[in-house]
Amino acid sequence: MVLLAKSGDHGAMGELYRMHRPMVQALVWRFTGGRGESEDLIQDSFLRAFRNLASFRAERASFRTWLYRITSNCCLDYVRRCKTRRTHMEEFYLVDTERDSGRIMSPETLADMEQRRKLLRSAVTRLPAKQRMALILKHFNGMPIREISAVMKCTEGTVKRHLYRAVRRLRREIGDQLPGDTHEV
Amino acid sequence: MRCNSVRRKMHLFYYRELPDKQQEAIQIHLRHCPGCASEYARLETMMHELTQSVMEPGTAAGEATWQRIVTGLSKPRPDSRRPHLVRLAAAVMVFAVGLGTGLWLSRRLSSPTLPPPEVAASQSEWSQYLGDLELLLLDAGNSRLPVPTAAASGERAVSIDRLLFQNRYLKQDSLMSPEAQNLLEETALLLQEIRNRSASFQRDPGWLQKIIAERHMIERIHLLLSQSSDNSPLEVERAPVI
Repeated sequence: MVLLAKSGDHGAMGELYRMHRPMVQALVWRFTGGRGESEDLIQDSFLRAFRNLASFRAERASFRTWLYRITSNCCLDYVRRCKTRRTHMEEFYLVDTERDSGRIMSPETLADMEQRRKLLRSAVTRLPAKQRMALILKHFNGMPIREISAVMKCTEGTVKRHLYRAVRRLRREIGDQLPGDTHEV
Repeated sequence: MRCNSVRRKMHLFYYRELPDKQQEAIQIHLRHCPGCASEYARLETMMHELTQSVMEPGTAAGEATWQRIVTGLSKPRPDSRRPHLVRLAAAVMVFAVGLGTGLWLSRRLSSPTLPPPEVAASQSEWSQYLGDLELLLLDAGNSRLPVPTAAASGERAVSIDRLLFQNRYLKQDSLMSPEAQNLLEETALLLQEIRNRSASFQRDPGWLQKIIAERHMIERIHLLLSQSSDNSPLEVERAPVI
C-alpha cells in the first residue's frame, strides 16, 4: 500500500488515510483538546506525510511510527505557534461523566473526583509540550517507550525522563487530594 | 530494593516498562512496604482519573478532511523551506554586518597611524614642554630628586605627572616631525622610569645622568627648542600654529 502511495496513487493514499486516521486523530485530539484546529492538524499531518513519502524508509521504521513522528511534529509546531498556549488549551481536557455513570457513587465522591479531574486538566495543560507528548503517547496511546523515542527522535532515557517529570508534576499538582486506596471507591 | 528507587521507577512499573526482574522486585517491595504501597495506590488512582478525564475523539470518518488533503496534494507544493531560508539569510546578513562592524572597529581602534585629525599642538605648547623637560632633566642630573606630582611639588611647577600629561597631549599632534616623535616616545619611557625609581633615586642618581648623556637628551631638546624659537616648524609639512 505504501509503495503504491509512493508512486502517487491517490487511491492507496486514501486507504492509508482511512487506516491511520483514528490513530492520528486520537493523538491530535488529545494533544489539542479537540479544538477546531484538530482537523487542520490532522490534514496537515497527512499532507506532510504524503508529500514526503519519498523520504520514508521502511527499513528504518514502520509507516505507523513514521506517521506518528510527523503528527507529533505538527502538534509541537502548533504549540510553538500558540503563544497563548494556556488559553488555547483551556478546554483541553473535558470531563465525560457519562463514563462513570455505571458506578454507584455518592454525591460527595463525585464532587471530589470532579475536583481532582479539574486539577489534573489544569496540570496537564501546564506541562511542557514534550512532556505532554510523551505522556499522551504512553498513557493514552499505550505506545512502548522504544517507539516513543523513535517518534520523538530522542533516546529512551529522554522519554523516561519526560515521563517521570510529567507524572511527578501531576502528582505534585494534585497533592494530597488523592484517596489513599484504589480508584474503586 | 530501597523505597527511593522504587518511587523513582513507580510510573515505569505502572506502565510495565521495566525489565522483568525489576518488575518483580518492585512487586515484592510493595507487598512489604506500606508507605510505597500507599503511594502506588495514589499513583494508580491518579492515572485512572487522568484516563477518565480526557475526552475521546469522535468517530467521524473525516471524508471532508480527505477531500481537502486531495485538493492540497494536487496544488503545487508550497516551499516549506522558505521560512528556513529566510531565517538563514537573515542570520547570514546579521553575521556579515556584525563581522564588518567588528573589523572596522578593531582596525579603527588598533590603528596607531590614525591620530585624531583635528589635534595640532601649538608651538608654544611644544616649547613649554621642552623647556619643562629640560629643567627636570637638569635638576635630576644635578642629583635633585624629581617630584612625581604637581600637588607634592610645592613651589616647583615642573612635575613628572605634568610632563607625562603634556607628553600624551603632544602625541596626538598628527603633523609632528619624526625627531619630535622619537623624543616624545623616549621621554615618556624615561619619565615613567624616573617615577618608578624615585624611591631609590637619591641612592643612585648616576643612572639618569648616564642616560641623559648617552642619548644626548639635552642637546636634542635644545635643537628642537631652537627650531621652535626660530619659528621653523616642528611639524613635517605644516607651519606651527601659535
